Amino acid sequence: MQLAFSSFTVDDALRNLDLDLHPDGITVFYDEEDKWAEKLLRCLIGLDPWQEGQIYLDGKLWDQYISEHSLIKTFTYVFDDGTMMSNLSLKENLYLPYQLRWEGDDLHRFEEELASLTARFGIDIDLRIRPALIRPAERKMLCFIQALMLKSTVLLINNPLYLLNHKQRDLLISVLMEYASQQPMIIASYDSELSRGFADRTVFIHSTDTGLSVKIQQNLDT
Amino acid sequence: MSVVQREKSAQDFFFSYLIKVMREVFYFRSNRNVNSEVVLKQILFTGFEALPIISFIALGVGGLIILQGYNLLSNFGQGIWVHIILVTVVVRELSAIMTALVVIARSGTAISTELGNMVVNREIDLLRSFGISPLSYLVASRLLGVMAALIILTLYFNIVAVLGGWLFSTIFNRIEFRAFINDFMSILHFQDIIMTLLKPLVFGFIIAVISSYQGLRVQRASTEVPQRTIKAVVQSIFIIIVADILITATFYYLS
Repeated sequence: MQLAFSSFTVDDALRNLDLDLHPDGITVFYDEEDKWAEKLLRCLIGLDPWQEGQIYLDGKLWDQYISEHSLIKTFTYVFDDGTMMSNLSLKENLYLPYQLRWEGDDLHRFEEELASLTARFGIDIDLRIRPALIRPAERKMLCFIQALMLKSTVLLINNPLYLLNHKQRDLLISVLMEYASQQPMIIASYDSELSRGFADRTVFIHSTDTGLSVKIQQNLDT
Repeated sequence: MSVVQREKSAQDFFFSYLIKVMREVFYFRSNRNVNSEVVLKQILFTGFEALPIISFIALGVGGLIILQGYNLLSNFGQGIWVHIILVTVVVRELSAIMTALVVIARSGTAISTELGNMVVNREIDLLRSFGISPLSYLVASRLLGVMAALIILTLYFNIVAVLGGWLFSTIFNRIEFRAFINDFMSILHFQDIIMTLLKPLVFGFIIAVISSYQGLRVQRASTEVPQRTIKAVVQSIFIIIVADILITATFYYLS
């Protein structure tokens, strides 16, 4: 998918942004201030409004592309704190978008994919309980499982390493690298670890006196 | 402006919100996001779990009306007309209002608090990120559940209040149940039944719309949740009383 921000303005600091990229593999939006990268992802998924400019997906306006392809088939967003619906069980949380994405009630296929991914992430939790009853890091891992099961065109991840311990970070990075060949990912992060030796390209974002400065760097060693 | 942006701005204005919610409810049969399980859970919470308190209030109100009415009317030798008071006060007015107040206290506050906390915990954002409208998934289901539960509860209130009235009336007169019901039915008109069904329908709609609107108006802080819940309660009570006056006035005017 070709992704372009054109004269994109959210507020006084983020104005007239022009960014054109083909997010194959892993793209990291590296933002030391931990502000703008997340904002761009939230605009991409349609959670935050923008004032001026456009987002183009494969040359089409965002609204047009989303109405043709649906949001859930285009983007999946993983929140930094592992957000889940508190009134649903873990399994219901995982099944809710799955049902919508695959337009049916194929519970058997869902169970199979879920079992394979929970084994891959080393998660052994009773999925009938509510999200509040498990640790935030476990909840976040389940959010990654949920996102990977949806197989959207581009996976958007906000601060993937937040809340995770060292072992969980290593595991997550290896899983993401494994899946990156099948599913393009855009990651918003303030963690310099992710911009080195992990991403296929890094988009450095930082604010200057005249606005936002954006620089794309292809990482040849990955 | 994106679809999500339009929805967000709609919530800032009550009337656009109202129109969107009504559209969601109107098309609920074809709406995949209106979850029948959520509707049933809401009926269970609003309706079934409120039965003990409704029973207690209805029994007490029915009994007290008979008690006061009999004392007053028997001074003029008209004690038998106490049934008219029972129909006028309980069936036409009190049943719907009292039930609505109980539902505001239990379900209105619960809806407002739950949705407010969902906003703070970014669960509403999560639904939007899936392309699910919070209005159809969360609000429409609760609205249908509250409306259905309020109709059932109001009918139940009437039955228990009439039974309470008969129980208390036996203290003064050894009156047969069948005779009591016959007297009661003779003054109960079709118009009273229509009013008994219409009021809870309107009140349920008002409670669910205002409570969900106030819940979704929470911005970021959890301290906003109780403030919004208080607003939901006060506005619901105010609008319900205004709606009650309008419905009653319309019925009297038409008849």
